[in-house]
Amino acid sequence: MLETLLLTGQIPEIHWEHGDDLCDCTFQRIGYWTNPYLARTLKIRLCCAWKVLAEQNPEIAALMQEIPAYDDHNGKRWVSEPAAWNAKDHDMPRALWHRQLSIQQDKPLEQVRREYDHLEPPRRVRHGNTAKV
Amino acid sequence: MPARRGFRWDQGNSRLEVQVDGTIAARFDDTGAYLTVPAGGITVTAGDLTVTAGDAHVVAENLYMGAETAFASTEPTSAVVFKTGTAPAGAIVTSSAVFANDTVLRKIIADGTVSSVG
Repeated sequence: MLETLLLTGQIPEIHWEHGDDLCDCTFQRIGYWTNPYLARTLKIRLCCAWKVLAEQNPEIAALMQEIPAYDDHNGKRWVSEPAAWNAKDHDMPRALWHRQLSIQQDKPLEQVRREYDHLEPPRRVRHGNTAKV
Repeated sequence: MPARRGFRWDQGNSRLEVQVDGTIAARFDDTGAYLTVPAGGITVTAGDLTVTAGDAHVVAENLYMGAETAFASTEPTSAVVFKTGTAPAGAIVTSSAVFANDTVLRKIIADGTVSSVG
């Protein structure tokens, strides 16, 4: 049964996960529901799905906001400049780096992927004003 | 003079202090909180920390699930912070749970349905 599902493509070979860079949307959020007693899983690449729906239907577009700034909840302000990578315990994910470059340079994501594929993303910072969590 | 080690009765505040090398490590009282640790914290190296009545309050700072690590910019307060954990599977009858790894925050409800949050 499982082999049949694999052969017929009903069980995908590629496992979707956040940050997999398998689509061009900004956040790559994947809606995900699964249950062992039903043996069923539903996945939706949410921001891509919303974009398609919005393009097809102005009423849905009117219910979406795409804002070119970071919502600094603590400072109660918008920040329009992408922040430099400052994590101490891991490097910047490549998919995130490519999206940051795309925004900073106002280039299509596909172009950034080609131009920066041979380069490595920013490394973790050794010293910095990082807070304990 | 050697630093004090032992118990000391704080007459003015009606409480019993435990001093280690001159530092107050704990205070015992018979009103409010019966035991107060002014600094240093409490570590349980085996067994559980159990509340059989009353509540567990995290009044300031955060509740950490798993070993803490560094957060890049702003340390939160009044947050539950999850270190990457082991995902639950199967029914969790009459209960539900949330867990996290490095890319998702997920919940599981009584019938065993796991879903991503946000």
